Amino acid sequence: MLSPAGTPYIFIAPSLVLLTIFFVIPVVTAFLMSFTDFDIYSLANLHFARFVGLRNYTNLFSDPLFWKAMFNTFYFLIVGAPLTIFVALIAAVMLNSKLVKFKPVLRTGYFAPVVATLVAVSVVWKYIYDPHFGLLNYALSFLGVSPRDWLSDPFWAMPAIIFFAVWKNFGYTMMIFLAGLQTIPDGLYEAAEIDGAGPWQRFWKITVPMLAPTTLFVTVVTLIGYLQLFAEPYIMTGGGPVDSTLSIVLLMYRQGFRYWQMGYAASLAFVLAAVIFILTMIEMRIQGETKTV
Amino acid sequence: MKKANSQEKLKKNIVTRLAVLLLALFVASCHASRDSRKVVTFWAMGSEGEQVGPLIKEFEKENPDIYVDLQVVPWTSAHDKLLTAFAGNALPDMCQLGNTWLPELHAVNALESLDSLIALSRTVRPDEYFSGIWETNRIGKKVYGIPWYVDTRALFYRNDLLSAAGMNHPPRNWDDLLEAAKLLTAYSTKMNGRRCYGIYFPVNPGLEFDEIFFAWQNGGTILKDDDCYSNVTSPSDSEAFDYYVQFFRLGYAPTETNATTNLYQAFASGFIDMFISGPWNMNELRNRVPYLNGKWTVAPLPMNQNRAANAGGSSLVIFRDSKVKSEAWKLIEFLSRPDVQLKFYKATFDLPAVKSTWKDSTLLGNRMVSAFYEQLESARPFPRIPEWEQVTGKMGQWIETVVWGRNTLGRALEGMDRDINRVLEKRRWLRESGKMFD
Repeated sequence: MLSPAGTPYIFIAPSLVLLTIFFVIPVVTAFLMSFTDFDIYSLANLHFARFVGLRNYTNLFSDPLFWKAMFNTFYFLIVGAPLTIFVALIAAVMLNSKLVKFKPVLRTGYFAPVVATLVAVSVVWKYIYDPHFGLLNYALSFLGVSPRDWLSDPFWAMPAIIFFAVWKNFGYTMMIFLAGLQTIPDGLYEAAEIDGAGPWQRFWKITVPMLAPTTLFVTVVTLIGYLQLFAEPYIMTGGGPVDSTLSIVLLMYRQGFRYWQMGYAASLAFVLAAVIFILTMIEMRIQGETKTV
Repeated sequence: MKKANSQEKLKKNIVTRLAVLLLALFVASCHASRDSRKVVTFWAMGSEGEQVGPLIKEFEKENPDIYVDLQVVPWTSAHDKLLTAFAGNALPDMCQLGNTWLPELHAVNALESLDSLIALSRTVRPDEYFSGIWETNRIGKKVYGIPWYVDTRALFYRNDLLSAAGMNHPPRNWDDLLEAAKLLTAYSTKMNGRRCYGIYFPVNPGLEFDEIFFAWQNGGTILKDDDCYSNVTSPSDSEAFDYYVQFFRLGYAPTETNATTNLYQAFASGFIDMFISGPWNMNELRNRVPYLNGKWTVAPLPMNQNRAANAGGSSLVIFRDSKVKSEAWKLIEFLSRPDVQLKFYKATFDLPAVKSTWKDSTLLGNRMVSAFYEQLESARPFPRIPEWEQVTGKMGQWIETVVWGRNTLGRALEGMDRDINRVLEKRRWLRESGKMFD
């Protein structure tokens, strides 16, 4: 009745069906849509949608706003991702050290921003950054730094968002590092200590290489997450000033759900997906090479 | 044995629960069938939705055969919800609609034209409405909405500071406005000992550009040829843009986007001394900075060739698929009665759409409110096309680059012109191939 070869398919059928309905079909539809000019008129009557070939893509590549958004997204990624990983690693090593006290309190404190709702804390940070009444300018005034309008200054808006994002996200990465650190056997450190290795050497020769798989995972996850920057600028700056915090996903949201330019928004989505795919491949390749060396 | 027993128990439990559920449903349906009233579902937004309840009760008392199912939708999600409901065939019978959304819902052919109902109505008479506002509801030759409450833009300013700075009358024309901004900037900066600004314009990143009225006041229009092409590079438009940008260039207006979060504080502290906004801010200012009362007032916008300003507000519409159109129309007529309009004004402070309501002393008796009346007489609708939001988004995007000194006005207008024409390409195609319906 059942061939042994067919049996596994029956078991994975439920998830296959769900995956098809909620993932494969929408993705294929969106891909096809990216070659049409599907918009609000087409919502009324499907005949009002035209097949436009690659026009969405050529329009995209000739739109200065797209390049601006691309630049901003990469700015956020290149500065924000290493910073997040670095801060997370420091915090994890610190929490793993035997010298630090009140670990549960600190751990909760570092992790709390991750659990907090992004939109709510964005609003709070908007007030922290306020030029006249904000906490940040007040704190900086003690250091003699003149007040600045962080979120309304085209130069400072992105750094302000990066700072906020690092604060919001490093806790998650830290937890993963912490888990990685706890798998490193104490014996390695003890042996190194007996051989006369100092704390710095122990960190570079044991902790860092032993954490390599964790670092790869964390890097890929952060990369994918940060390329999809959206809620922070959406709530805090709306993409401004002068589009200095406009990200690819924010542009996509505007085109798709504000203006109902679904075809154009879909083409943006696929460009972003391609970028993420290529970067992740490169990342895996580099990490793979260093491992074999 | 034990297992079978517990299964038996479970079964019994389910049966009892099902029986209770069925009984409950039966009772509920009995109740419903006794209620032979016709149900009109009505979506209202934000504070209007919260305040209209008592009026609905009154309506139901007058019309015992109609039950109104009122649903309050938050403004922020209303736009998405309407279009999703359209796609999912789940629209209500009638709805409150911000009048810039009307063209979108018309484009998807979701709205019922109301002309035949208006022709027979004794309550809803077009000449009872501000013509600019009425026009926002007309697309082609047909009318799709009845104005419920209205809104437009007027000038809010610190009269105490302006007279102290040396101008004893509200700014009456464009030159006055520029002069007032100059005087106030200098005066407030000196008095507060820090950089202050005479006037504030919202610089909404990537969002709508509100100051379209400068182009209108200069005799221009944003679009031309039946709203199929951009007109922003025309002399009258570019002159108006130049006038607007001047306030930033001369340092009379802040580029600070965050001032919006604290507009009222900023106004009270003298950081900004004038702004152009809608009627809701009269109430906001009274509530948020009550100690400022008497130090600020409202005037109609300064004249240039005319005094045009955005015609805003909400209309009441009936959806095409509704089965209870005549009942819904009865509710619209009820809400348009001057006495009901007045009650609604007192509950919401939304300015009434029906002109005769304004005779009440709380309206025309109030100098600030009457400034809005004067302004409403010259209110003008935006182009009624579904792409409008994209068009003003493009305007905002390019003008912002000039405001920040990143671009010359000439180059920005060229970019704006190209982008707007690109947005309107679909509209031109639909026109040319005769696919557009009226």
